Amino acid sequence: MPGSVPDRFAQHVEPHLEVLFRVAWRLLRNTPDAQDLVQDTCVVACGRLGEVAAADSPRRWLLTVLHNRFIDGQRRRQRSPIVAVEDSDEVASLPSADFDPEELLRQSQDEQALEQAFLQLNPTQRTLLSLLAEGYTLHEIAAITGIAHKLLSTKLHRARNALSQRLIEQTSVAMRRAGSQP
Amino acid sequence: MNCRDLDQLTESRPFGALTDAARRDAESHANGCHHCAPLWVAYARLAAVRVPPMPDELVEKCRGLAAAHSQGSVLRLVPRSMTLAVGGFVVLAAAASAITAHFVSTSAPQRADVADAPLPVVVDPGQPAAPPYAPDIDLVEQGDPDMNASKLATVVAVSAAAVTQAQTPPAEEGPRILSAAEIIARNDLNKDGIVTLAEAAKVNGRLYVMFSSVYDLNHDDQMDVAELEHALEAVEVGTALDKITGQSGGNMAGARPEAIMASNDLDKDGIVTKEEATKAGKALIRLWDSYDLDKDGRVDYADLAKGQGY
Repeated sequence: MPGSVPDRFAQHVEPHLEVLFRVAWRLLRNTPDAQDLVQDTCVVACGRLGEVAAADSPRRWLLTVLHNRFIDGQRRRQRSPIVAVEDSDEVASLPSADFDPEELLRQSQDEQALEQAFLQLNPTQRTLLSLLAEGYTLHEIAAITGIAHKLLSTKLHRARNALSQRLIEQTSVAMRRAGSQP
Repeated sequence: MNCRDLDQLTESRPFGALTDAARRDAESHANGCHHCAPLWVAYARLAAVRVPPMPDELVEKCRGLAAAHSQGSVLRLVPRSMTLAVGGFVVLAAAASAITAHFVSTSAPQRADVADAPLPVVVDPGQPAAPPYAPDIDLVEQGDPDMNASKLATVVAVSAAAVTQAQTPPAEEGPRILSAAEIIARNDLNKDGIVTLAEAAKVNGRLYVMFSSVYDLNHDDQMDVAELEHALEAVEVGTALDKITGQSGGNMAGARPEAIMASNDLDKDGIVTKEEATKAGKALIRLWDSYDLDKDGRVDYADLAKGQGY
């Protein structure tokens, strides 16, 4: 008998929770939803601890499940997880001392524009860009998402183009708003 | 560095892995290139996003999941969709309790009213015909200890009947299309809200056959109400089969009975004859024997619904 579920969970899944959370947060851009996604992944993992243990890379196995659950959840919800700026963790963690207020404002606007642009991408594009930003290689991303390696470059290219396009749109919207203010 | 170099660089390496020299090269190219500037900005900003640290309680929650799983209960501690479902169940349970309490508190004092109203008779097959309801209560009220169980059983049965009657939709003519929630409820053997491939295989052969090809959209060998709803909805609007299965035409897996009927019932009389199916030339004729179970050469809506596993 390979041991109890909690023991095997602690051995095979727990070491990867941090990674799962980071990717989940990048995908969803808010902590509660990221926690839900990680827990959903853990529910699946609990039922298949044997597979996790036998996998070449348990982390990749878990990320694949997380990716699947994310795609599933996005199809289900059809809504954007928008978080109020004041609740946002990163804004709260911005350094306050010796910091140029204009620079702070610009940075905050940049982050908001990026978030809005990112959340407008389709779930697969979000996954690809999140994994790339987390430092995964194309080979790993292909294994996690199940996208053929040859297709991956094209999809990644489209994702980056889509993000930059939406970023331009967001930026111009922000500039128009700023220009219309008295 | 040219545009192609920058593309390759940003697609093959994360921002943090770039050397200072590579980053400077990329920046200097992006600054002068209309095409690459927005791509570079998006890449750099995405890389600069600060992910907050993992909340400590998440580890505890996940450990709790593992512990709950080991006790045979996949209890989701936080996911809010499940919380809503559990909340609904609690409300129903509370309603049932309230009705039970109402019967217990009102049955004795309002015996005359109770006697006037037609009440279900509880019959125990091992015993002679049960006495009428009111005398039972009388005996209990007089302190006959042997009748306590009888009273309790009667009250519970009446309450359950009332609750069931209140919750059961009126009987419908003919077969009824099951909702996603009902299909899940039928197949969810361990009542965890998720139907696994193994459960589907045990409960319903057809659902099992269609499980991977149609319903299990993310191919994780399990589905919940939302996923099934999505699949059914997509199938219902008729665009889905191709989208979901990646196949085109000739596959009836997951098709709604109405859709099959509509495409095969040429004279629109609600019955598909073998001749009609042959003329229509759809998948039905190839699978005719699976649907025409009584071998009368006709398939009606009930046959289709049954054949499709509804």
